[in-house]
Amino acid sequence: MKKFKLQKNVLLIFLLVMIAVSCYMGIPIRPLLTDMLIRLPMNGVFVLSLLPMLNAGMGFNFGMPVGIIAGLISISTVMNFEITGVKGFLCVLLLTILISFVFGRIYGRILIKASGTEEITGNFLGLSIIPLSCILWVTIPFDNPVMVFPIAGKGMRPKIGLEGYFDKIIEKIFQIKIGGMMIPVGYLLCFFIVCVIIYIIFKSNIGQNMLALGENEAYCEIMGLQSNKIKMTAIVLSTIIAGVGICFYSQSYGYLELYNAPKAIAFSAASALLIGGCTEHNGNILNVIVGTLIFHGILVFSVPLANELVATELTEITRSILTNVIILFAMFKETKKEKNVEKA
Amino acid sequence: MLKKLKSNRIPLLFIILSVIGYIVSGMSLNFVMSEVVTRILRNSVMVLSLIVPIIAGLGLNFAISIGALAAQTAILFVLNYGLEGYPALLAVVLLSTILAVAFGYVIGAILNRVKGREMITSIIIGYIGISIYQLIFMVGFGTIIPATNEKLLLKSGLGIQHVVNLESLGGIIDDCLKFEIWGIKCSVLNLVIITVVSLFIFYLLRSKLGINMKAVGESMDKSQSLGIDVNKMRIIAIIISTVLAAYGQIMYLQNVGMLSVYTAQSNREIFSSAAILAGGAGIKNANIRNVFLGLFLFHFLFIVSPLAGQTLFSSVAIGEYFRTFISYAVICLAIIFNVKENI
Repeated sequence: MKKFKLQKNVLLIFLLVMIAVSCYMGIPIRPLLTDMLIRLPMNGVFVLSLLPMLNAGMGFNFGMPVGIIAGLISISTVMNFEITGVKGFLCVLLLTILISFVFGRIYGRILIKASGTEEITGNFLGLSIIPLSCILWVTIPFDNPVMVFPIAGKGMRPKIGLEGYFDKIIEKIFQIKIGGMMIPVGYLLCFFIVCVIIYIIFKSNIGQNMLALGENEAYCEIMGLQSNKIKMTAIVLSTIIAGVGICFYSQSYGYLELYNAPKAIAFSAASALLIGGCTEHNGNILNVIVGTLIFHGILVFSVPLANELVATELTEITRSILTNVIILFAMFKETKKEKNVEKA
Repeated sequence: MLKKLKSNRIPLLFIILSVIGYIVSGMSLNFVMSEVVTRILRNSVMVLSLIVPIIAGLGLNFAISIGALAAQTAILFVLNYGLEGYPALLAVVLLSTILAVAFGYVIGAILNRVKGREMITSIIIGYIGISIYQLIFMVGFGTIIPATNEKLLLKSGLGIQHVVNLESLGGIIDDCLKFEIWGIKCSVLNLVIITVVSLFIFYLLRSKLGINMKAVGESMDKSQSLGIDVNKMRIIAIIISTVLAAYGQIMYLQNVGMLSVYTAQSNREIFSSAAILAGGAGIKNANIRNVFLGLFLFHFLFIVSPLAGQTLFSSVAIGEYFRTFISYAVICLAIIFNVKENI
């Protein structure tokens, strides 16, 4: 257990050094800290969505695009009917849960057939649903001029502004200004409500079954638990939370990103959760919060630093390297641990 | 009969889709064939590089994109020092071999530490490699690495241009002793290279080394108790794969004639894997027949699908998205079939 904490501490120190260097170089850090706080709920829901499948012993949900696309479909549908404001956003959430429930059932049926290789199968399922969604975006008969290409009159634009619809609708609830820093209290509160819901689910019978399944599948079968049913619940739950995640993300970002945009989200989420100190069989909500803060803190601070020090393109590359190296290291450790168990 | 049908279900699916696509698109057979042959010549070495890791039980090696990067790095360095013609080609081959052996060793060592989940790890290794490569040529070139060829640099003096013309290297293999049959262009050197690589793999798999690799692929524990060095076999398999992937990328780039420095390697591993699976290979078994059948079927579908989309839905984009979907879905299907067969 101690080894995993080491990784977290190294990155935490790295973040603190970055903050110190930013101060030294005269970069105003207050807006950056605000940005870091906003990114917690913005990306934290994606990280949360990994938990049910991780705890049910299926590894990281690299098939997150399934849930994300369900969310994107519901946002664009609601926008097409021009339902705006809080009422619209509630419609979006409801529709997201419905669509991602259906998608999650289908996704789960395929994934259960590939037991033991869920990560790689999920990855390719996620990747293959993206071109399917692209076909949907091209053909879908929506006619809201905000969303479709202006000249052709059909086909969705790759990047749709949410202004006048749900732009920053949760983020703006009850913001407090303290010493030049905007603290989005309502937004954080909304995120914590989602966290509490997940926490309650894990404390309930369903969640306890998932944890048991993650510990030992063969034992669960003997105890008379239907492992496929529990797996299905976990997959559907993960997909629904991922769908809600894109709603949180889009309203904060201010744009709806379609086509190939959902590709990389799952990897950064997995990386954030690993930084938070989860093992590959078990993670909790504290891991999610700490991991998201450190991971996105590093990203937020690396942008102005990279601009000052070297080239602008660096940030995207740094993000990619950081994300993937962390996942790679986690894979090392996990396999090593399994070997030790076998020896014992 | 039924069993044979079952083991060939992915090729059958491709044949059905290709025939439908061909009829709908209404392209001339001659045009499609000449396009398909060009693409087979261009991609076959890359796809051949996937066989050895599959035999050695490592599954699909998505880290062949690292081999492609080795080739691109070699080409950029050779262009930087201003070599031309066949000496340049020789230098590229030599340099990319050295790089690919080194990279292959590292990848093999990493994959030996994550036994049982090699495929997802190789995807992540590929991503890391691409990021580091982009970092080197965006920032390191012109600063740490001295640029002797000013034409390669961006105007800011930092980083390499997005598209680089290969100049004398472009088409260097294609133009050597070229001939034409039924409007299909082909060159002797091209065919010789593909034959040599195919024969190399064919005899490798029947040599002592290849038989040991097969044993490792069947069961690591049993091979260990037979005294085979499992880790070494796996590393050798990955090194061979990476080197062949580098050669594959050289073949590809010289045919295209220019190098998109930052994006030429993208999706090469996905399309190559999809091609070999389309030919009926599995996650645990593959042979040379699979490669060429797969290349033919995959690229046939790849060429007809945009036009088929155009006639069916009056949109080229739909056909393009459809073929991307097919390449990912085939890999997914193959993994699921493999799990089922093991149970």
